This record gives sequence, structure tokens and C-alpha cells, in this order.
Amino acid sequence: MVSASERAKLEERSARLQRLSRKRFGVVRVVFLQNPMSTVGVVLVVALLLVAALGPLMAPYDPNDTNPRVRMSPPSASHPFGTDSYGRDVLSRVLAAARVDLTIAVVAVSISLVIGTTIGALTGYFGGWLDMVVMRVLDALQSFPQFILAMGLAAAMGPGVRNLIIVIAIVMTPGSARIMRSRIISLREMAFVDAARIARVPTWRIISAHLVPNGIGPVIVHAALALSFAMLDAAGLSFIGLGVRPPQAEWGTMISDGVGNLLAGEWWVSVFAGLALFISVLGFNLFGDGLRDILDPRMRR
Amino acid sequence: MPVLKVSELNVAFFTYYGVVRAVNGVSYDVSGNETLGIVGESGSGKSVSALAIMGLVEPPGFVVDGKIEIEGQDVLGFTEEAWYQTRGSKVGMCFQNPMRALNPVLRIGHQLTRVHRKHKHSGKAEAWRHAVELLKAVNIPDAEQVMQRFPHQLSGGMCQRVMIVMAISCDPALLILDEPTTGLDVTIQNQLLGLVRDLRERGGSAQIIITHDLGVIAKTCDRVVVMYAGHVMGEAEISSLFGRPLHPYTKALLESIPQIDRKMDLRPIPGSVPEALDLPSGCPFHPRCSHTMDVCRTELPQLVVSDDGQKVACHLYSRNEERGDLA
Amino acid sequence: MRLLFYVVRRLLMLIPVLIGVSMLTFIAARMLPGNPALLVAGPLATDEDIARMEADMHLDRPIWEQYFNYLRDLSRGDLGRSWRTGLPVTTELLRRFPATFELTTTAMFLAVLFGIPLGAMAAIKQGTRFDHLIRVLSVGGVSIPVFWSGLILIFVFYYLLGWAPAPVGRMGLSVAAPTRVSGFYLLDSVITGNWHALGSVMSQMALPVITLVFAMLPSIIRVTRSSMLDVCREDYVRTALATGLRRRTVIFQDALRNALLPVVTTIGGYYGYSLGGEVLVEQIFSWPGMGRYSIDAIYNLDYAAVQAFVMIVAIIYITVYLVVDLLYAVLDPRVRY
Repeated sequence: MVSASERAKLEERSARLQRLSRKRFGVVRVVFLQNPMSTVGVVLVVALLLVAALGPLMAPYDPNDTNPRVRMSPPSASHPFGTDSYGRDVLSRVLAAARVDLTIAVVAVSISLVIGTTIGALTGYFGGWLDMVVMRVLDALQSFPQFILAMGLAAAMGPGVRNLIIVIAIVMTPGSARIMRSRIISLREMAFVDAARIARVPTWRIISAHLVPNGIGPVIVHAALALSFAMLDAAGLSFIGLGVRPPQAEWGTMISDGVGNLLAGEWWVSVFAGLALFISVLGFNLFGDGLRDILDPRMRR
Repeated sequence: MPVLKVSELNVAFFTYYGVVRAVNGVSYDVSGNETLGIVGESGSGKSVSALAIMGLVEPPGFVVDGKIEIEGQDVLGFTEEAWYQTRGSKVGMCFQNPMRALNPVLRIGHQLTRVHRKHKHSGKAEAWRHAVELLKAVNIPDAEQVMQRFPHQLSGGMCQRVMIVMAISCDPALLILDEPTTGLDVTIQNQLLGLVRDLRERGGSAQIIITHDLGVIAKTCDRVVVMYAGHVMGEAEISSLFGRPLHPYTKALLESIPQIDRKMDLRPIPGSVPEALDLPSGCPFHPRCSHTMDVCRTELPQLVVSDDGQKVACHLYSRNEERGDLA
Repeated sequence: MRLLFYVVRRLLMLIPVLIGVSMLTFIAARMLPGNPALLVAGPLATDEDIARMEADMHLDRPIWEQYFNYLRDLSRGDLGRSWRTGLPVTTELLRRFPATFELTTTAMFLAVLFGIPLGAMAAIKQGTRFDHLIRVLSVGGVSIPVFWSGLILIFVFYYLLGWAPAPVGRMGLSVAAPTRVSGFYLLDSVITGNWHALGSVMSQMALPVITLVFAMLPSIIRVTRSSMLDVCREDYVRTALATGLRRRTVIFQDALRNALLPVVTTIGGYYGYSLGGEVLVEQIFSWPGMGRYSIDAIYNLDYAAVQAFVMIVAIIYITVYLVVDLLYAVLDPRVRY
């Protein structure tokens, strides 16, 4: 049994949360209050977006400006993150790379989301042989470990930002397709679908206006988390030379550029680029987790 | 001395959406060799009060007030160790949804014998024999075979009986059954209820049957407690409850049961059970009651004893009792 | 007996997937711009080499005949030849498999050893500081790029502290490999009693294994925690407690027994994924496994090797997944076969 003081504390806490949850978007506020890490995630994502948008304006130097006189200089007042082996300012390059990495991730995931959702919705709704064939293809695609598949495709297609985006989009599509498909399958048996059919709503409208919006929840969560994987994949591919082409600044290539120097003790190139990547991926992961908690019925107790 | 005495129990759940007062000032007791029924709609707090008796109220739920005495001992102050000795050996409980209440990856034999071995420190063979005996006593055919099976291989009725065996295997003084018949076929229901009656007669233990089904109450119980929105509305001997229901809620419940031999309109109780977060002031039933008076909106009625020994919490009777007669 | 039928049935179900995989690999190869023969023959090929390769690959025949030949070669284990070494790719990959296997399996073993208890404890102590700490560390761990963490570890433990040896591969530069019995250096050095080699092998393995463990641990923790949380809400846990069993008993016999079932599937999946060669980790630590071979192949435009590697990895992944599924069928009595 609880003591009187414990009880008072519990009641007060409950009352506070109740008031909070009754406001608009109550669930959101409660989740983020209970889970401070999700708030951190949102902050990080917003910060990343800002850096990506304003990057070139914020950078003290031109990221591609070589200056052989100051090559491989450690962090200092004039170069807070040091310079790389060509004398380029690491801080500026890290900021510029934010835009590149973020763009790649967002575009790739968006493409995979659109295509995946469409495929998932169509196969989920119509079923039949279309479903079987498509599922086999998705199965086959998902039989390859994601990074290896990306690697193979990138090796075949060659480096470059455009190819990188395509490769990542291909690799991520089966995920959202599957989720959407299973949501559609569970939704299509519901009464409101029959009602719409009886009302002679055209099929394409049933799917797009009724089924997809209802099923999109888990797909959105998946997309947020997919952004983090996309960034890791993009950086990983660039690290092994299959992604962004030099001299374009990108976190993965910067890490790889700095490897040789690292073993000689000149750590700043790899470390700062990796740190930036880590923080961005962390932001997306926390954000995705927060979204998942909001949409998870378990939280509604 | 009653086997179980619950006094002014208050259980609340401190959730994200507010405080849910599941059990409010509830009192009842049960003696040996009698069956008490607790009846109420879902959300009336009947199951939660039983969980409190077992010490199984988990956060965000807490017992915030009251006393629960099992064989004279106050259990609300119990340590974990004390609970390990009490649960299963002094009090046993069976839950709803028997299929889900059994561990799907352990064989029935294992699940039954481990309880007996824990409390009675018996050997494997002895525990096994005891379990088989009990399974036979509850009319499970091929008891030996069933011991080797997994829960998903049994029917709902058999699972329920296995749960009963698990609960009584160490001969507890009190057995609590939470919705023992919900979800089962009517024929199975009757078998089960007969079984429960037999158990009581043979063992002499006290029983509590929690249900929303008045028919079940009629067939098995000696006394009944009626609960609504976490409050006790009334308590009566079974004949009094059905013969001369006092509380408007009880009356409405009885009237809402469709009669098979008469043509009549369905008479549900208007309105719906209040949200546990948002209990009405005064008497919780007043929004749906056809005899509401002004005082009902503001004051919570206390339990008073009527002339035929029934207890009822309703302003209709408390006021009249003050005046010396009964409506 | 029924289990045997189940196994056979599952094996048969593999076939469409394998066909799909081979088809995808084949299509990807043929869809490339330019002459596939040129790619496979390599940049140093002469015109005759290319012509010969074209004939070899039957590029003039209709596409389905090409595919059929491709499948036929596959079934014979012929994955083409590396233009650089002239050796069949299959041989090359097999030779490097033990290195990858040893690294991955050791890391997985350790990750499971620590991950499951940590995840379970976090679930049991949900809401406490321990739980929050574990959750934060897990999210952090999942977000760290594996190729970066490896580099940081090298920098700190090799360069700064000098505790770890140079990342030059499975053996120290001056130590000879143990006599080959199984190809697994850990095993071989113990078998042949070559303690000097064992010491070298273990110190060389330390950093890459730690890197991999850091990469795998968070996922295992999260999955275990999540599964435990789900299971602890189930009715049967409450029933077990209601019979007076101690929390400890209920945790092990009821909660964990059920919670670990989906965890086994997930872990199996990770294992299959990782066995395909942790490409990035092998690259950083100069580990002579399949992963590094594939990177070399990419750099050297050895396309046949890359294609073969991707194919093999997929097959390993699928096989491990199948084994795990079968294991699950044995462990969970509800699965009917």
C-alpha cells in the first residue's frame, strides 16, 4: 500500500499529465515529456535541417578551397576543426557535407516511400497473382543484406550522387512496401471499405483517400528510421568509394580521406566528420522512436 | 472469523490521462464454506478488488487505502516473501481467458506440478500424482495424457479446468474465480458451475465468483455483492436479491434480462457506464437512475442495512431509514 | 518424422527465393550499360579476350538461354573467374570464409552473451535509471557508423594507448599462422598447442571483435527488451505469480522462455546478415575475409567477383534464416509441423 505522501505525489503527477494530455496534441506532449530523448531527437533533426539549409552561409571558408600551406593542421582558432591533407577547412566541409548527406537520405527515402507505398497498397488491395509475383520479387530483394545489395548495385552503376540515391531508394523500397501491404490487408476487410464500395466510390479513390491515409502510420515511423539507415548506407558506400565523388564534401568520404592520417595521429578529419554523421543519425533514430511511441497503442493506458 | 475481510478498499491507477479510481470504499467478507458473488458490468472494479486481495495490483495501480485481512492477517503490509507464502497456498485465483492465462511453451504437467512442489515441497512423482488426481476430479478425460500436452492443444473449457486445478492444488482457504464462464459454451458453462459447487461442498473452502452474468450468480452463490463504478451498491442473500431487489441499479439489471417465456421489449439501462476518469459526483449511478433526487447528485450514499438483512447504498433507503420506514 | 517433412517443405520453399535471387543478380549484370563481357574480362583485356568472353557468356544467344546457362553454372558452383588472379571466384571466397566466420561468430557470441541479460534486465526494471541508461546507450550504439567506431577504437587503443596491435589482419606481422587444421585460427592454435600464435590471434582479433560487438549489441538489447516487455504483460505471467511462484522463477520459466522465441529469430537474422562479411569492418582492420575481398574486387573492377560475392552472401543469409526458422519450429510448441 502507498503512504499518504506517495499518494499525493502520484496524484499530482497524474493530474499534471492529464491536463497536458487534454490540450491539443496531448499524446504528443505526454510522450515527449515522458521521454526526453525524443525531444533531443527532434532538436537534432531540426538542427540538421538548419545546417543543411544554411550550410554554405555558415561555413567560414569555401569547402573546396585548398590551401597547401596549412595542410593537416590541428584544430585551432582559425580552423576549429582543423584542415585536411589539401588544406581545406574541415569545419566548412563538414557543414557542406550535411547538405549532401541529408539530401541524399531524404530524396532516396522519399522515392522509396512513394514507390513502396504504391506497390504495397496495390498488392495489398488486389491480391491475387500480382501480389504473389511482387512478393516474390520483394523477397528476393530482401534476401540480400541491405548494405551488400547497395554495394553490388552501386558497383554496377558506378559512383555519383544520382546513382547513390537510386541505389539507396531501391534497397529501401521493399521495407515500406511490406508495411503498407500488411496494413492494407488488415484494413480492406473493414466495414468502411464495403460501405465505400456500395456507394460506388471508384477503386482508386478507395485506395488513395481511405485506405492509404489510415494505414500510413507505421510507414511514417519506418520512414523516419529509414532516414537514419539511408544516411549510414550513403556514408558507408562513399567510404568505400562507391558514392559521392571527390572533391565533393561528404561525411563518408571525409572519414575515408582521414583514415591514413588517423593512424599517424592526425585525428580531426575523420573524427569530426564521423561525429557529425553520428549526431545526425542519432537525431533521426530518436525522432523515429518518438514517433513510434506516439503511434503505439500501448502508450494509451 | 471470516476467511477474507475487505474493509474500505481504495485502489487507484495513476495514468497519463489522469487518476482512475477503480475501487472506492469497497467492503465485503467471505466465510468458510460459502460462495460470495461479485456482480457488475465491466469497469465496475470487481476484478481489481480481487487482484488487490492477491497483491497483484501493478503500477500505475496502487492500493491507496483500506484493509484486506486473510484469515485475520492484514495483507496490505506484506513483504514479497509473505506474498509468496500466501498466494497459491492460502488464496488461489483463476482468471478470464483461460487459453491466454496458461504459459504456451510449458506442458500442463510442468505448470501444475511446479506449484505443488513449491508450496508443499513435494517430490516430482508425488506432485504428478496429485495433479493427475485433481484433473480427474474436475472431469478431464485422459488426465495422464493431458499432463503431457500444451495449452494450445486443449479446448477453452479444459483450460479453465486446468486453471482451477492449478488454483486449488495446494488447498487454499479462499478460491477466487474471475469470470469463469465467459467465452465458453453454455453447456460447458453449466458443467463448470456444477464443478465449482462440488468443489465447495467437498473442500469447505470459501469462494468468490466474479461475473457480470446474473445467471451464474443464481446457480452458484450464497450471497452477492453488487458493484458499480468502483462502489458497492448493495449486498444481499441470493434469495433476497432476486426476490426483493432494493437498489435501482439491481432492479434495472434484473429487468434487463430478457425472459425466454414472455414476449417483451428489451429494457436496457439507459446511458452507459461512466468513464472511470470522470466519475459523476455524489452517487455514481445517478445519471442513469430513474429515481434520482437532488441529494443523489451531491452526496455519496452510505451502505445501510434493511429489515431483511440486505445492505444497500442508495438515498432512497437511507432517508427513509432515518424516518423509520422503508419504501 | 514430421519434422523431416517440415524441413523438406521449407527447403523446397527456398527454391523460388533462390531463383529470384539468381534472377535479380543476372538482370542487374545484364542491365548495365556497355558490354558485360568487357566488365568481366577486366580493363586489361585484349580484344581477343573480350571476344572469347563474349562467346563464353553466350551473349549472342537469347536472354533466357543466357539465364539458363548462368543457372547451370551456378549449380555447378561455378561463379566465374577473377580476371586478376585467374582463379575461380568460388575458390577465392571459400579460402576467405574462415576469417569472416571466425570474426563474426565470436562477436555474435559475445554480443548475445551480454545483450540478452542486459535487455531482459532493462525490461524487468522498466522505468528505472538502469533502464533509461540502457535505452540511451542502445540508441547511441545503433546510430554510430560501424566504420567510424572501428577507426576511433584503433586510434584510441592502438595509437594513443598502444594496447592493441596494428590492424594488419589476423596475425601479427612477425608471427606465423598456426598449422592449418580447420582454417579457424583460434581453434587451430589451441589444437596444435601453439600458444604464441594463439596470443597473437587473440590480440589481433580484439579490436575488430569489439567493434562488431558494439555494432550488434544495441540491436540485441532492444529486441530482447521489447520482447520481454510484451511478454510480461501477458496473462500467463500474472497467473504464474498468482500461484505464489517467486518472481525469479516466473522471470525465467515464464517470461524469458516466451520472450526469447522472437529474439532467436531476430538474432539469427543478424547473424546471417553479418556472416555475409562485415565489409566495412574487414576493410578497416585489413581482415582477410570475404568482405575485404569484395572491396578489393570493386576497386579492381573485377566485376565477376563482385557479382559472385553478392550472390554468395545472399545464399548464406537465406540459409541461416532457414536454419533459424527450423530452430524456432522446434522451440515453439505452437508451431505445427
